[in-house]
Amino acid sequence: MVGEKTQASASRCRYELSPDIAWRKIGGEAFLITRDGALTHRLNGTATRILELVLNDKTTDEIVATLTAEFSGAPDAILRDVDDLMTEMVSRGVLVKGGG
Amino acid sequence: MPMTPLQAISQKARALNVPISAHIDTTYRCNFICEHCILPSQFGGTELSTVEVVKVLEDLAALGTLFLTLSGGEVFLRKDLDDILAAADRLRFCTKLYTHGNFIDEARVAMLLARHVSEVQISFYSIDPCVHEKITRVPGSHAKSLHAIDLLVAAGVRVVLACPVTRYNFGSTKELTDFAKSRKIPIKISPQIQPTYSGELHTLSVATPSCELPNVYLEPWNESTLYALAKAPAAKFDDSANCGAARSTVYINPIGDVQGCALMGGLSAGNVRQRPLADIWRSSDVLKQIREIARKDREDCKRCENAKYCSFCMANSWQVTKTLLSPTASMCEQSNAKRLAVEEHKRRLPIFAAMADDPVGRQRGENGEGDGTEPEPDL
Ligand code: SF4
Ligand code: SF4
Repeated sequence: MVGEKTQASASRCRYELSPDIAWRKIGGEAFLITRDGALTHRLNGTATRILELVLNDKTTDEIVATLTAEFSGAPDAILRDVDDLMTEMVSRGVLVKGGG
Repeated sequence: MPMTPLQAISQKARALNVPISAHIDTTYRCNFICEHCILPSQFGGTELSTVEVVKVLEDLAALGTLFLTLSGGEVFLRKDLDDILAAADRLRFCTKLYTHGNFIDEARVAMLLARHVSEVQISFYSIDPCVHEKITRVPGSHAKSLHAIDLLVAAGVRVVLACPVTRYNFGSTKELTDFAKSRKIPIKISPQIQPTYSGELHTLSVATPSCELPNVYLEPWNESTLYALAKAPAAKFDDSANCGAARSTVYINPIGDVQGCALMGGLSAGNVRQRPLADIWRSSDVLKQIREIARKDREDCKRCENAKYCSFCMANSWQVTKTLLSPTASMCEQSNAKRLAVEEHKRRLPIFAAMADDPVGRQRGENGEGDGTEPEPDL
């Protein structure tokens, strides 16, 4: 139950790109770099799509709904993947939790 | 070995013709009068306004530019620098400034931090104020640059020192390198003096005398390059590009002329006031021609014994010979000096000498019976 609660609240989360990150999408992949040039990240196509949705101010559940429609996958599995990616990007300082 | 993300970005940008690096000179005004300065002595036209610069930044972001260099002239002479940096920040560039640093005070450091500027590169010619100011020809400029370095470092802004080597400071690179090391600041030293953007050659008269060049390349700042050059294979004249000019880099001058790189003055591909930047980038004949040039087109270089030491530069060729493929005296002189420096470096280091010149030593390496060091490639 606790897990479900966490997931439910996480699903309404909005994230923002950390102010320390510069990024561009090149040939379908996002390249992110900390502005001090110290760390770089390269995202695959799906992760790049998720990042774009984050930057369009979508909540996690909106992102999952969009991806479910685009990739016709199971919502539960997609939610898990999105949550994992968000956690990873937050821990690496790429994303920060936003309002909403 | 897997590619680092930075290598992947650069490779992808070249393959897809994305101008991943852009350099904008926002002004050619400067209060210093350095003799080696590459800015043209005569320059007319009205500088791009704030709105026009911001439009260029938006167009660059849409084209895929990630690394942005803002320079001049002296970039802090732009009264609207904060507005420009705010736009660069909003558009998520990794932004670098080139400056002499004399206008940097606490307020400007705060501005750089607020705008998430990635790096400030400061021109710094010597730790000796007399030598530095012999070059800038502005009394007191050394102390102001030093103050800027201290302020930036204390605030946590990444600082890089840039030192062109001229006949005035060729003897002081070691002290300068030690200074940079003591402050934990990277330093870029270059003995290659370029003609001005408009092809005037007077700057070359302050270049390091030829007889001193090998010694300059033997100084500690260049040590890792000497190792790399010694081990590098022979130069290849294949289909690959000479550099990123017009492929992954673009330059915009203060009045909006677009070039394949900063040093290609006079090779304008168009002006952003007349045509959208994306249109210039994608369809300019000038840029297309530069893009098509490959190493294999450098006919005059193919039999050169110094080719592997050479940082061939199409822009230097253009400024001196008005072609993009011809060797110039200064490029050839630099490459020769690098070869002499590598040879001297090897002579001074016993292990290098043994590996390179002693066939027995080489055999030992190959058979794995010696000290295990890689066999030296043919030099
Ligand atoms: S033409 Fe010369 S200055 Fe321009 S990018 Fe190439 S090597 Fe650098
Ligand atoms: S040293 Fe001169 S001739 Fe040799 S590769 Fe360089 S530019 Fe060409």
